[in-house]
Amino acid sequence: MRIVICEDDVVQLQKIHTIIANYAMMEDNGMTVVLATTDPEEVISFLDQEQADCYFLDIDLENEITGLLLGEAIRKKDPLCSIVFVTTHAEMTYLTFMYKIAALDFIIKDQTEMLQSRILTTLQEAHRKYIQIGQQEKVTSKIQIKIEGQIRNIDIDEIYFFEASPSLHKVIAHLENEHLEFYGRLKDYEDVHETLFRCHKSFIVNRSKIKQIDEKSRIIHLDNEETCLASARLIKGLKKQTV
Amino acid sequence: MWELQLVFLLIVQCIVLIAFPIGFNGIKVTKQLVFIATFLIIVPAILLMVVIGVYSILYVLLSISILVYVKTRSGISLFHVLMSLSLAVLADHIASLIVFKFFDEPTFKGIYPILQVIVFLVMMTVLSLIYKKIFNVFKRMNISNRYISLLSILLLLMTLIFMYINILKMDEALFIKSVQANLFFFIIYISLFFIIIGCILYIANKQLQIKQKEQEIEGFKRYVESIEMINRDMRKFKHDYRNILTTMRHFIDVKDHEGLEHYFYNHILLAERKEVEDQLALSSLNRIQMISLKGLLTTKLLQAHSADIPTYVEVVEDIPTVNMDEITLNRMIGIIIDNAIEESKTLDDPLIRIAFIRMDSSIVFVCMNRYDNERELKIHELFQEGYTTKEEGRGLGLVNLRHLMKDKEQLRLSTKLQGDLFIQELVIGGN
Repeated sequence: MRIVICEDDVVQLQKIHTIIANYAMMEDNGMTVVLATTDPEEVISFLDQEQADCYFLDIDLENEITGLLLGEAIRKKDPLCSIVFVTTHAEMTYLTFMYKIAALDFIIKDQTEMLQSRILTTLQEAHRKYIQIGQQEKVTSKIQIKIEGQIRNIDIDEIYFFEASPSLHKVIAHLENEHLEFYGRLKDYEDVHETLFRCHKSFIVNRSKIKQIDEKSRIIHLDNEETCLASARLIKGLKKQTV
Repeated sequence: MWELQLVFLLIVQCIVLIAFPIGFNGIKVTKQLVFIATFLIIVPAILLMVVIGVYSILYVLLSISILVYVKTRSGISLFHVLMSLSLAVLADHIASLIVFKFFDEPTFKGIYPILQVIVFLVMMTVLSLIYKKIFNVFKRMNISNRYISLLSILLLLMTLIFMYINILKMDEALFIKSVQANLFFFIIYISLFFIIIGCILYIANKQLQIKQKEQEIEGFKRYVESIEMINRDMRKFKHDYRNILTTMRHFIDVKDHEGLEHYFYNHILLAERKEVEDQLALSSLNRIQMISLKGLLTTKLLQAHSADIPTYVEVVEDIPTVNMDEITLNRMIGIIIDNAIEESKTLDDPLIRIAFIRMDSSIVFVCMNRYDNERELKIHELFQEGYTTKEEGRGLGLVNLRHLMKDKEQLRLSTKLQGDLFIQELVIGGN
C-alpha cells in the first residue's frame, strides 16, 4: 500500500511520517510512504504521474478550501483510495468532506496523546479496505445506483423495495435503515436481480424480504413490518414465483 | 312506463351525487361502500321521494355528507358534496332546456327521460371538469384555513337553499320559462360565489406571504444581532489578549513554569476554544446567499444553543440562490432542524451537525443528529401520519415534509439511520 502525506507544518509532518514508517517496518506488510511533503502542489504534480492508495492530508482552518480542492483532485483521479484528514477543526468541515470526498476518517491534531493510536487504527482500516478492493472482482449481489455523479453499490440483501416517488422521475429505495431517493425509473431496476419483482405500477419488491402476502387487500408485508402494494394483475406472478 | 323512467332518472342522479364527492376526495371504492350507498342512500331516497317529494334531497345530501365525512374526516370533502348538488342542479336545468329546445317533437316523447339523463350526464361531466380546473387553481394557493373552509361551506349552503326555493316556487305551467330564468340566476349566483371565494383566498394568501416576510425579517434581524454580538466579543477578546500576555509575562519573569502551564491550559485554551466554536457556527452562514435562510438558520442555531445542544454548521463553499421558492425550502429545512433539536433535547449527549454542500450542479443540505438508538426506530414509521415521539400530535413533521416535496421535481429527500446517528439529506438539484 502506497501512502502519501501532506502536512504544512514540518514538525507535524515528521511526526506523522515517523509513526507510519515505524509501523510499516514493524508489520512488514508492504506499506511504504511514497511522498511526504509540506506543499499541496507537490501532491498535485505527483498525481499526474503516479498513484497512491492512502493519503494523509492536513487541512488548515485558514485555507480549508485547499484541503477540499486537494481532496477533490485526488478523488477524481482515484475513486477508490483512502483519504484521511489530519486537522485541528474537524467540526467545521466534517460533513462536507464526508460527502464531497468520502473521507475515510478525521484525525484531530490537538489531542497529541491520541495522535499515534488514531493514525494507526486509521491506517489499519485503510489497509483492510485496500485488500478488499483487490478481492472484489465479481460483484453479483450488489445493485448500482448513480447519485449526483457518484456511484453507490447497494447490497441486494439491504433492499426491501423500490417505490416510484409521488413526483415523476424519482425513485425511493427502501433499504435497511434508509430511504434513498434518486432520479431514475422503476423500469431500470426490474431485471437487475432475480429476486426483484415488479408487483405494482409503482413498486418493485425484493422477494426474499416478503413475510406475507395479503391477497385480498393486495398488500405485501415485509420482514421489517413495512408494507407495499401489489396490483391484481401482478400479484399472481408473485405468488407463483414465491411458492 | 313513465314512472319507471322517473325512478331510473332518480337513481342516476343519486349515483352521480354520490360518485362526484367520492371521486374528488379520492375515496377508495370497495364492495362495502357500494353496499352502503345502495341500501342506505339510494333505496331510502327513492322511497322518500314517493312520500315527501323533492324534500327527499335533504336526506340524500345529509347521508352523503355523513358518509364522505366519516371516510375522509376533512371539511373540504363536505364542500365537494354541496358543490356536486349545485352542479347537478345546474346540469339538470341545462339538460331540461336542451331536451326541450331540440327534441320537442312527439316522436321523442317516449324516450324523454332517457334523453334527459344522457344530456344531464354529459353536462355534469363538463361541469365537473370545469370545477376541477377552478378547484385546482384555488388549491394551488395552498391555504389551509379553518375559517375559509367553513365560510365557503356556509356560502355554498346558502346558494343551495336559494336554488331550491327557486325550484319549489317554479310554475308548472310555465315550466320551460322558469327553467330558463332559474338557470340564468344560478349561473350568475355560482359565478359570483367562485369570485367571492377567489377574492377571499387571494387576500388570505397575501396575508400569509406578509406573515412569512415578517418572520424572515425577524430571523434576519436576529442574524445581524448575533453578528454584532460576535463582533463585540471579538473586540473584547482582543482587549483581553493584552491582559493575558501580561499575565503570562509575569509567570515567565518569575520562571513559574507550573503556574504558567496551569494558567494556559485552564484559562486561555478553554475560553478560546468555546468562543471560536460559537463564532464559527454563525460566521460560516455568511457564505449562504439566501437571506431568509440565513435568518432561519440563525434562529435555529440560537434555539439549539439555548438548549445546550452542541451544534455545528458547515458552509465551506458559497451557496447561491436556488431555483425554487425560498418559503417552501425554508419550511422544509425548518422542519428537519426542529426535529433534530426536539430529539436532541431528550439526550444526555446530543450533537447536531448541519451542512450545506455543493455537489456538481446541486446543493446538498445535510442534517445529522444523535438519537436514542435503543428505541429501535424504523424509518417508514417516521413517515406515517400521526407518528410522534411526543405526547400530542406534534409528529406530523415528516409527513408534512413529504407533502411539501410532492410536486418539486428538483428536490430529493433521503433519510437514514447510522449507528446512533439520524441523517436527513435534502438534495436541491438543477442550479
